[in-house]
Amino acid sequence: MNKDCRYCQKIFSGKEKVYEDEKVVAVLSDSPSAYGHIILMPKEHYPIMEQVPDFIINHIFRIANKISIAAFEALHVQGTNLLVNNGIAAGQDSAHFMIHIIPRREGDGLNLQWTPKQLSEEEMSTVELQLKENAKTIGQFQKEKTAPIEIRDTKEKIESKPGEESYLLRKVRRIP
Amino acid sequence: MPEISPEDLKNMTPEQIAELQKQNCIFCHIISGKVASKKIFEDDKCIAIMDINPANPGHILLMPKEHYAIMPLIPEDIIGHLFMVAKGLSHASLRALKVEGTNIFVANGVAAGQKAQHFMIHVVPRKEKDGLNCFMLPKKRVTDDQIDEIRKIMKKRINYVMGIKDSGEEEMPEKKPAGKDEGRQTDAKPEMKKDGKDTGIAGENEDIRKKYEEKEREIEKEENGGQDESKDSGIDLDKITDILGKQMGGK
Repeated sequence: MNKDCRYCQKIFSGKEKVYEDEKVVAVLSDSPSAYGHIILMPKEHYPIMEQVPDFIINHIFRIANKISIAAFEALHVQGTNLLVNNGIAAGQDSAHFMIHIIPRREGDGLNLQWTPKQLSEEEMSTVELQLKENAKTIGQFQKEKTAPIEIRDTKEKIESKPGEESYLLRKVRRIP
Repeated sequence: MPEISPEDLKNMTPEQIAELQKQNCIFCHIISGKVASKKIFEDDKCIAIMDINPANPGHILLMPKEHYAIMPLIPEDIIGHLFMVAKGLSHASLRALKVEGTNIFVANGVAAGQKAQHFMIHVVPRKEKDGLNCFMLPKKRVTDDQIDEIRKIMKKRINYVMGIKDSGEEEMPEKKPAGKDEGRQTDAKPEMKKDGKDTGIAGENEDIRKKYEEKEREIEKEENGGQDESKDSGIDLDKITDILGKQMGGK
């Protein structure tokens, strides 16, 4: 638990909780974007998604799906949005990783649509190559996936990649 | 593609309809390789391509290879896998494009802004002042009473979906990995048996009736509004932390 984190305090206080298990907690947003806006987060304090261990990601999004199903059924909405704002530049406003689950109705006035940007073929190809190169390592989590889901020492995992994590932590410090 | 009348659709089996959806889905064609795309990542379950109408340079679409229209239809293990890959893609964006953040975005249903019939996760690289404001969530003011009202409704339904009994011990969903709709209905069945109502109707009808009654009970519970809230033990703690929070300056 991070004592300065408003959401760690929420996890501790139990107020507004709609779901809890050994790894994650879901609460209602106190400043919702839509009726029934839920915030789902790991109990452990991780500022950004890249720091959250794969097995927690695996678990938390399964739960997100179920909460989304529950929203469909209980609130009779026509849609749901899942949104992760990862980093200040992405609109993250607290240092605790969280998934927003937002029930949606036709004509609810919420607009999460973007205007497509026009990129040249060259720009697209450059970006494609850069991403491809860096996406090669993604399969590595597969070991994680087949391993039984159990609570492990997550800190150990973060330290195992010192180069990368220090870079990530640098970014995190910028989050208020 | 031949025209299909509503009459034809009625006579089709679910398998045939699924096949038809696949035939009409541009993303299924991309996955099978019939339509060209800029592939970023691929494994046996999913594929990630560049969005040709990107919100920002490097906007990635991650999709299951199997055709699912919305997230509730996807098996749990695929969901877990997809989002672990999404995390990897987000990490790849941070490294490759020197961006300062990413948005992970899912739209379920047209009302949520879904445009394609194939479920997908958007991974959008973000830089400060990149002019993308659509993911800035507006904040509405609500009263504690309003929050409490929704909390009760949602908590009940979430427990139902997870197969957690409302009263008594709460079971961890990990122990009961209920996959789809069928799963959670069977989960809830033992509760029904406790009612000890007549068991005259056998076979399929019995099952249907049970499911129907189960739904009714759910609605009833919702209408009664939170009788089985057994959270009393936590209240004192809540108060203490609340008071503490106020003294510390409102946070």
